[in-house]
Amino acid sequence: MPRPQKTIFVRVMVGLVLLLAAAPALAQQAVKPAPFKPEVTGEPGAPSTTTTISGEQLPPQKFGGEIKDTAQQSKPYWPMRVVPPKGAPNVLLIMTDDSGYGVPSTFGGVIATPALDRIAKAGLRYTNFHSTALCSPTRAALITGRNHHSVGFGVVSEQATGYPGYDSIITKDKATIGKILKDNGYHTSWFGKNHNTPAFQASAAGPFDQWPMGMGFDYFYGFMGGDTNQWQPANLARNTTYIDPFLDNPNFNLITAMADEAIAYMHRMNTLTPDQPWFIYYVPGGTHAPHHPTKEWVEKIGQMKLFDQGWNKLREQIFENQKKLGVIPANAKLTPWPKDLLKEWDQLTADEKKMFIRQVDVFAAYVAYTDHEIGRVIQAVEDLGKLDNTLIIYINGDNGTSAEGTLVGTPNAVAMFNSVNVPVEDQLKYFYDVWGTDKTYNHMAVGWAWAFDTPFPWTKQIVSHFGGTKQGMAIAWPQVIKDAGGIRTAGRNVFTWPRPLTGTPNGDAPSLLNASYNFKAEVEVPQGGAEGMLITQGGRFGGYGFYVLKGKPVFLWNLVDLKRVRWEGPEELSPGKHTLDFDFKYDVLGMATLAYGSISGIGRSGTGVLKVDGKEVAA
Amino acid sequence: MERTLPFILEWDENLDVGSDTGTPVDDKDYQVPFKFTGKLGKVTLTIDRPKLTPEDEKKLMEAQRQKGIAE
Repeated sequence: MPRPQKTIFVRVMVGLVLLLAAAPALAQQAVKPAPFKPEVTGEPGAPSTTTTISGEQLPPQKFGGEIKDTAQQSKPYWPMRVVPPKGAPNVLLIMTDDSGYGVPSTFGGVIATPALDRIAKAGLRYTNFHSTALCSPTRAALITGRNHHSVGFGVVSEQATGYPGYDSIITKDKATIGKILKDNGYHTSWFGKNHNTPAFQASAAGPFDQWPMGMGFDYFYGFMGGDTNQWQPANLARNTTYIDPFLDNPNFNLITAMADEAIAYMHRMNTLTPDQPWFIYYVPGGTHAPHHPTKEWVEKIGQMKLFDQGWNKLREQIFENQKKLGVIPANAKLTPWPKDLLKEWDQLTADEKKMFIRQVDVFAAYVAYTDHEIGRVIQAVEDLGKLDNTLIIYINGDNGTSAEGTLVGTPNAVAMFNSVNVPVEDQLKYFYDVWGTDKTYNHMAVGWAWAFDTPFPWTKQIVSHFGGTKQGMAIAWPQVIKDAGGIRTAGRNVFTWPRPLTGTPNGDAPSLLNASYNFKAEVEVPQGGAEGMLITQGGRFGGYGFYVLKGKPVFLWNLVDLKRVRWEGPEELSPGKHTLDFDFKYDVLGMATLAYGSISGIGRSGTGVLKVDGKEVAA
Repeated sequence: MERTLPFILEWDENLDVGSDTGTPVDDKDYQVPFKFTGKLGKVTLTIDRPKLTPEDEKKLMEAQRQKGIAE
């Protein structure tokens, strides 16, 4: 349960806002801001006049004209448009997903991350920056500059409960960095993952107050929720509208698409309003599961044979690199391997080794691919000639590398969240070649996650150990930060967060799991027959569909892509009106047994009957 | 149907009526969006969640107690 926090998280951004508003030149050290004097351009009251504001509040602008009986006698007075102070920088805030301290080359990892290296070389590397060990909470803290419990995100949005600190609601009095910068005259935008909308408000019907646009971001292109299928993201939205740009585009991948979108946005803003600075919050789904890199990256990384020595050797290598780079203390000792929990590499069978190397090659390719696309966004800033006065913050991971892949990895995280393990033998047989393609919702074995959090023990979700919470970060702002390549070891953003997390996320559509249910569809079939979907939830990795296929009614359960159970009518529907029914009677007591410590009520058997116009056609 | 899903459907895909977004539930049958070509008047989903009777509760409580003793 929550207890008083020792220190507070990520004041960086709020500090940043104050600095921007006060005096950009002071930016490196938090010096007392000088008394505020607004910078006014042009005649007050003229339509194009602008002003800066103190950043502490929005001052009401008094009407300075005159209102008389006629227009001729009156004098108009336009409120001044609020703009940031002269020289205020653009801000590009980048954060990757589920990535431990030992993943990127910048912090000793074996996977080359040239974009993060670039920021570290041009600016500063921070070795003592911390997350909350979990996605939504870290993100909520980052965008509000407050402890995540203060903004309703003690847990991920899907696990929210109706209690203060855990209800996934960011109240209006807790403004985000987007809102603050927007109100100070910035263009604000958000690309990639949004895990800070309540799950129960994420449908196309909103409400949208806590979507990015409702939280102060002018523009949003990204996905709603904790993760997505990068090949066919069904939860992808532009602003407040769900979109599916991957239809008719078999090469679509969201990691590339969102970089393209961000670059296009930057160009658009630069063309229309070259002097108005922008804030871009850039948060790709990489490298959260599913690990979905392009084939080219998988080939490239696979050829490098980075992981053939196994996870124990990998740890030693990362640890050694970290010492060389100076991103851990020279006298640091590597934490011991948890022998009682995880097998050592040498204890694995040849099949296990083969499969696990494939899993990690795909993961590493995803890391490299994600960083590469981030690099394109950074390059676009340079190409516009804006690099010098752009503050770029690149945080590696919103928490440590994830152990949600189980001890043996999984081709389908939906199976994992239903407590279904796919044995290595089956992974090799059915999924080895397609690992990382759109045929998998894949995740890797825990041994790798542990190694990627080197030198620390534990992983994502585990708040009590640095494996879950220590993130590498680099910050560059060439015009201001002059100690290029420097390392900062002070841990001013540390805080502790006591609540361990277990459990599974929940969807927001009505759940028919562990219950009896009935679907009834009233259809009209034209001459020549009909086909298509009536109602469906989920997809390739688990779900159901009630549809008409080549004229025949079908109800299908996809049991996490390992088995499909099907009811199909033997005859085509005749032209005219029909009522189609699928009736399911569940055999046992349901979720309620969990309150008594019993799982006897869940995941059990039932009987389904498919009917056309009240007549049974399949059972 | 011998076993059912105990916890969760694929979470990145929403509930769709009249067509399918994202990925198909069975690639062998169709590809998205698989729009229904007839007229779809109305779809009704009725869920009948099992309720524990006092007798069920008693049994479960007893089982939990026995388990507690065994441990």
